[in-house]
Amino acid sequence: MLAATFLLLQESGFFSWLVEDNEASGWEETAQSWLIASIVIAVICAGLMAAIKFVIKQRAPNIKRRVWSRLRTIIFILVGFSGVLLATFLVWYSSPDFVNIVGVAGLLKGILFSWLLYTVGMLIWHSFGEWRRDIF
Amino acid sequence: MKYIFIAVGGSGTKVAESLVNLLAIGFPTRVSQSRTADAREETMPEFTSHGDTLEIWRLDPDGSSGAADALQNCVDAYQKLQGHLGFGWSIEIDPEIRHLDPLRLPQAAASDNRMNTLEGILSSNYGKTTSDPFMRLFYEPKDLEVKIDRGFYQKPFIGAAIMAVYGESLKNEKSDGGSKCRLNHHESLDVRFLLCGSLHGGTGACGVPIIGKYLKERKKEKDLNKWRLGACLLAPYNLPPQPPFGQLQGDEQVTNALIMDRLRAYSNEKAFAGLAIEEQKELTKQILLGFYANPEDMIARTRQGLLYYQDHASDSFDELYIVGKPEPDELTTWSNGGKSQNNPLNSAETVAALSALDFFASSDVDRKGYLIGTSTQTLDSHKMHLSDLPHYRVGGVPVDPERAFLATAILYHSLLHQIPWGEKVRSWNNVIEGLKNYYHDDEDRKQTDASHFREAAALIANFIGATVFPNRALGWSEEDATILSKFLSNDERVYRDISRKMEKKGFLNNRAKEPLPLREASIEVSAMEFGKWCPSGDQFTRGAYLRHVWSKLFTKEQA
Repeated sequence: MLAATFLLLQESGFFSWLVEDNEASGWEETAQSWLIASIVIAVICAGLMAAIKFVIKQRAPNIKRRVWSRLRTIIFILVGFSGVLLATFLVWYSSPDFVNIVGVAGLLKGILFSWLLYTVGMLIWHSFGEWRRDIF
Repeated sequence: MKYIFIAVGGSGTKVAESLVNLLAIGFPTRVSQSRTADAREETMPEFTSHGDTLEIWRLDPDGSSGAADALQNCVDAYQKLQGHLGFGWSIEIDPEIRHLDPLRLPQAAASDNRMNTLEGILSSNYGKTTSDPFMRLFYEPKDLEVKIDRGFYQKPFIGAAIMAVYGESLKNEKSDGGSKCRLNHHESLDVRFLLCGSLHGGTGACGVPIIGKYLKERKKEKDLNKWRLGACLLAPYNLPPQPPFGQLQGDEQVTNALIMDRLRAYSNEKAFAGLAIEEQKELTKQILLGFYANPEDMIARTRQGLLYYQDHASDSFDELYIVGKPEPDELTTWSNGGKSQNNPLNSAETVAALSALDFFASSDVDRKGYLIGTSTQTLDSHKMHLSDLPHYRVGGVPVDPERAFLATAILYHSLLHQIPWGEKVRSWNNVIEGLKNYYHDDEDRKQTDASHFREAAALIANFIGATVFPNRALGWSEEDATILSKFLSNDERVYRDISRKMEKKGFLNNRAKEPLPLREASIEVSAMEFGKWCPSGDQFTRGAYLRHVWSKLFTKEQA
């Protein structure tokens, strides 16, 4: 299933869009790794932010502090964007392949993609239970 | 259950006011079963007064007394409170205070019983009979001629004859008193009558035993087993100041010149304010003749009153309460009735009101005799604490008045400052699930309720202040008022400490950080626990919600 998805992405030209230098040797593997890194970063950040929110809410000493308005929730999600940005940059910078093949344009595209996935992840977290009322 | 509080004279009227205050504050008279809104749908005993009804009768010839106005204002404020809360918070009080005027007697002719003097009543030629020979035997001319439409001036021997005639008139449902009392209607009902008046005054001292005796005879005659009669007698607890000038001594006679002379000298006194010139003259004459409450006679009159009860009147009542103070509080304003007789409430009147609650709430119908509450040795009757107040029992459970005040104060704080009224109800979470489910995204309903709750809370705070704050009522300690005022404050800098104590203890521990103490009573409750309390949906009204939370607070284990 996963392999088929990657094949589909490869054929659709998504990998080529994701990296700056698509003529270097092994660029497809680098693009695939970059995609996986972006996904993992988004999922980890979404999970981490959800855990932080759980702790903040659980630590709230009274009802008023436990109630989150929609604005506060959106700001909290936006704060997570910076974590995604930082993590993506660090991963990109830690690998010469990412720096050389993915390049700056690929970095920005990767960040955008991670943000998108992170947002979807956070919205899924807020689709159930008590948190649903915080945003929907 | 129907309760009828018969306030006799000025003291009885002040006790009625205090009783209304206590009921508004949330003091219970019964235990009912309530369903909680949590998933288990448990039933719990709920301490409440909702479901009972109270009528107040005011037996007093003084139709324009300041105390009566204060009572009417208090009942009006109570009705406003009920209006804001809907049913469920407290007892239903008949908004019409039935003024039983003992001077409004049956008339065979238009001229009968029109003159408001003892002679005018007893010798009005009603029924073509005259009691003149007997009157001259028992009374001095000045007793027969003094106007009695402001009370009986601490002279029960004047009022007793009037009250006896009035008691007879109650048998006739078409008479003024009979139509207001509707005793025929009450014969089929489960009714508790409590008469309350002073032992040392005029109206109370003569009215309580005579009306009590009349009701007792009616109960016996018609075998009304569902009636219970009680009385609360007040020994001196307020000491009025001396009048602006003294009464005449020896053989001095009251003349018009003397009256005008005194009026010129003293008409600026507060007691004369607002009176027409004829009323001022009448008041001057009353003072000169000694028709006023003389503080020096109070103890002797109380002793005589108690002897009278011992020999003639105590059998009329199923229960008899006696309330007094070892050292009465000194009043600053002299008054001889009318609008100027508007004394602040007194802690003794609150004790008497608690006696009324004890009588109304008692489930022991065989209880009989005298009930004399004794105080602690440390009691300072000029500066009473809420912890000095006597307990009473509801459904067999003792009600500590201090704890009841504390529960209401916490309820006030929690209602206004712990519920996130400013946030959209859709964002309320499971910590406040009951209310969230009730409002169910209906923001308008939430806003309307929030507004009503704020108005109701302000009224409740006012009732508390009027009852026990030393700047508004006599005989209370400053200490309790200071603590209560923190709970009742809307200034975040003042109530911050209370909110902090109500914070939850730890990450997974929803209990409160610290208990909330008054003086001896304390309640430990966290905002999280408070948020969970809500009556089940089909029972929800603003009043029912407050009562549910109050009962939860009141029954929490002592911290």
